[in-house]
Amino acid sequence: MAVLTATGLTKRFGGLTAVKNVSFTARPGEILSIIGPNGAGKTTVFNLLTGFITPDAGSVSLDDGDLGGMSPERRCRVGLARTFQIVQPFRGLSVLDNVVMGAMLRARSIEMARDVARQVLSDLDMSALCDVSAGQLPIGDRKRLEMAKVLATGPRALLLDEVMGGLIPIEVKRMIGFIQRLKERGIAVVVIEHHMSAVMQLSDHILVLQNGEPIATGTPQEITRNPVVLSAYLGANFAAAGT
Amino acid sequence: MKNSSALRLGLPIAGFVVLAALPLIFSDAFVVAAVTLAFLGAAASLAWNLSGGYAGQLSLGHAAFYGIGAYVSTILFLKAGISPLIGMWLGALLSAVLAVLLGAVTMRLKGSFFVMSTLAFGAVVHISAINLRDVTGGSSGLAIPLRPSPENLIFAKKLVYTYLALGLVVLFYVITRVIAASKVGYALVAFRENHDAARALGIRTLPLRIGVFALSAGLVSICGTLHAQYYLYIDPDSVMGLNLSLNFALMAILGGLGTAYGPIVGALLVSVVSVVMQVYLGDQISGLTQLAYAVIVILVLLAAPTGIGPSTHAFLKRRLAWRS
Amino acid sequence: MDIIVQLALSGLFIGGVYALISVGLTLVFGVLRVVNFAHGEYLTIAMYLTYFMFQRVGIDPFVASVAVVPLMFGLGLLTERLLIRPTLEAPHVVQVFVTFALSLFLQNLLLSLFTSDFRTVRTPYATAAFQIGPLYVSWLRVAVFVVALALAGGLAAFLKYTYVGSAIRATAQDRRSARLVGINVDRVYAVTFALGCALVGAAGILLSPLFPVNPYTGADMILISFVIVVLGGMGSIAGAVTAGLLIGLVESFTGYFAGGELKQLVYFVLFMIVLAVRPNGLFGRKGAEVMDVT
Repeated sequence: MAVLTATGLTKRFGGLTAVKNVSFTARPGEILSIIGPNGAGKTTVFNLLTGFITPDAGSVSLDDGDLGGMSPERRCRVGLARTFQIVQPFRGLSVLDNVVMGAMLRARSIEMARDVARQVLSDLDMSALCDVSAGQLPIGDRKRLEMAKVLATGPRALLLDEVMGGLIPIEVKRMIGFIQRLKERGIAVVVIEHHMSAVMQLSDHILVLQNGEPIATGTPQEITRNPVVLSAYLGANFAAAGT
Repeated sequence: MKNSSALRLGLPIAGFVVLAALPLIFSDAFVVAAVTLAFLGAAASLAWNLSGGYAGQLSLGHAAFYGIGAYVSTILFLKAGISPLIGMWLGALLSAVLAVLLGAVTMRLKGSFFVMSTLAFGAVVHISAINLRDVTGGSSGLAIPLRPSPENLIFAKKLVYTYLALGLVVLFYVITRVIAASKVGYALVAFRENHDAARALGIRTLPLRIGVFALSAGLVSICGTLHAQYYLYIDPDSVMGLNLSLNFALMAILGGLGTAYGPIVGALLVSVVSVVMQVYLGDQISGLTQLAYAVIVILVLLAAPTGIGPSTHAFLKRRLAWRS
Repeated sequence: MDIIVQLALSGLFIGGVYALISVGLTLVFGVLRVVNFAHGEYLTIAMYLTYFMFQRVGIDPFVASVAVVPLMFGLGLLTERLLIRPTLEAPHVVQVFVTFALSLFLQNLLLSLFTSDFRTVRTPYATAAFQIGPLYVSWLRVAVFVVALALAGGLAAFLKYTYVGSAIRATAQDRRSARLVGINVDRVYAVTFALGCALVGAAGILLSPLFPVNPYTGADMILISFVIVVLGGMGSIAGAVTAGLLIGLVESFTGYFAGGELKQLVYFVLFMIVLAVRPNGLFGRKGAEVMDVT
């Protein structure tokens, strides 16, 4: 399992600096959450990490191997995988085939890929849905499918982009359980999330961004007491009113 | 599990046995000719379907490869005495190489743009064949003298061609099934269904896409050679025309795009419709048969957009699910 | 030198009509994201209508347009409702084939009704010309050129300054957002498609005194249109006009120096070069036509 390191990531779009000097380290078996108000640059960070866009400054490395210049497909192949906020299922295919597409990366044949896929679906409590057409799934199941597809690729580092979005409380609880089990597998997990309760329960470390810049980093307890963070989320008056 | 795989093997085998029996049951020369044409069309459509159906690369210029196969083997035979059995492979090689070059240029293009680029390619090859009179005989075409022998791939008994064509159908069907069940096949389907998602899962689609496009071109080319040997006459319109390209695609679409049986079902359907229309409408008013054909195509497409095969399958599934 | 200028003028004049034909095609693609492979057949239909009105009733083409253009618009509405709308959500392959089949249907319908004979509208003013120095310029061609560009300009103005035009542009950019602000997208599709047919119909009327018509006339012209639309950029009116004039010039010169079928070859090779090098054309928005490849 690998360490995912971001160093000094910076990205400008025209006159707007979307991300400025973002650095972090995500270790195997740990969960790092990136939080911040809307427009803070969180998704841009993910896009930089996965190679969808190239940084103006800074670098990304997986276990001391610099990922610079590698395409998203290549990064997935070396072990950095990512889910999408707006899920991208293969709608016309069954749930099982969807996951097989992910499992194909490491499996030597379709039969082996199917076995891996079934295992992953079982881990996510989706075995009953194997033959259902992905296009017919409700959003909660689609989010799980998205996770399953990506998990099947056997990643060493995993980026989860707002996987709680659109889930009802019971689904959120289940998803928290799944993500915690990822720690046991030694995967380095980085999470973008708005669901604060989930963030608090899951995270080993939290990085807070505002306007593209890191304003605080620490454990969940430290972050909730940090006046800079409170000010960013709730306004200076609230922060001044005491923690 | 065992039951269904027996079915998966048994059904196609039974189907092919039926097809093989057709020319023996209907000994009428007209019907046999129609059956031969259907088999040839099915083989070409199967080849087209590898790239057009599974990878979703809708090429409407594939007749260019068909024609290249026909012309290369014929020219080599007429001018250098090379057996079509060898010429066929050279034609296929040329087609594959051209496909790779074409693919390198056009793989970036989405949807209708890719279609248009293949149309342009097909037109360029067609027009070139008409204009390179010294090599191709221009619009007058080329005729192959009737000298029956296996090395010449010329047979006095037309029935041999029928079974050669059927042989190609079976071979191409098997190739399709093998690819569809492999990682290559799955990767192409992933690209077709959602290419962003495919990339995100680390699937490298470009080499596979070009590869299947080249394979498809080569196999269609072989069909072209058989066409030349069967009719013993080729000209640009009959082996490179746009209507031929449309037919390859249409048979696959009607029968079920991206399935192995689809092109075969589609070819038989098209064949039956053509024969029926010729019998009943004949040449009464020029264009009437084509007109009826176009109407039927539109109606089928609107009613069963996924193709007759998958639509029937889905329909039956719903019906049977009700009962159980 | 004179021949060069003559060829250039001739090229520009026909280019204007090509522009008008292509403008309809690019508009439909820009809004509905559908390439209407039967676009050329509407040209042919309009030319036949104009021919018969001239032949049977003696109405001059320019006057006949008052009836023919609305008729083409109506035909467009009908086509959209019956064939395009049902396939908007269907797999891409089906969309392509439905319009292709429509093209074959219309060609063969015309063939069955009118045979493959060429019909020509011979107006008395067709040969009238004036002289500028050593050059002869046909009044008719000038008029056709002016009207064609005026119509294209009129379309651009319509799109920019009217409510319906804005609705069309909004739908072209983002159909979901357009729905959210209350635009009836289905109606926009219908009007846009019909407008495309009306424009190509107008082009047909303009061509009637200049060229003979037979069932395949439209199909021959449509190939040029594809090249123009891609060169100009799918969805760009300005692009279609610019590219139309350019292609008119190219055709005029290659027709003179190379002749006949080679002319078509030049288009297609040009087409492939454009697709290979700059698929979004001169003015098109990047992204509609290419995808990122592995």
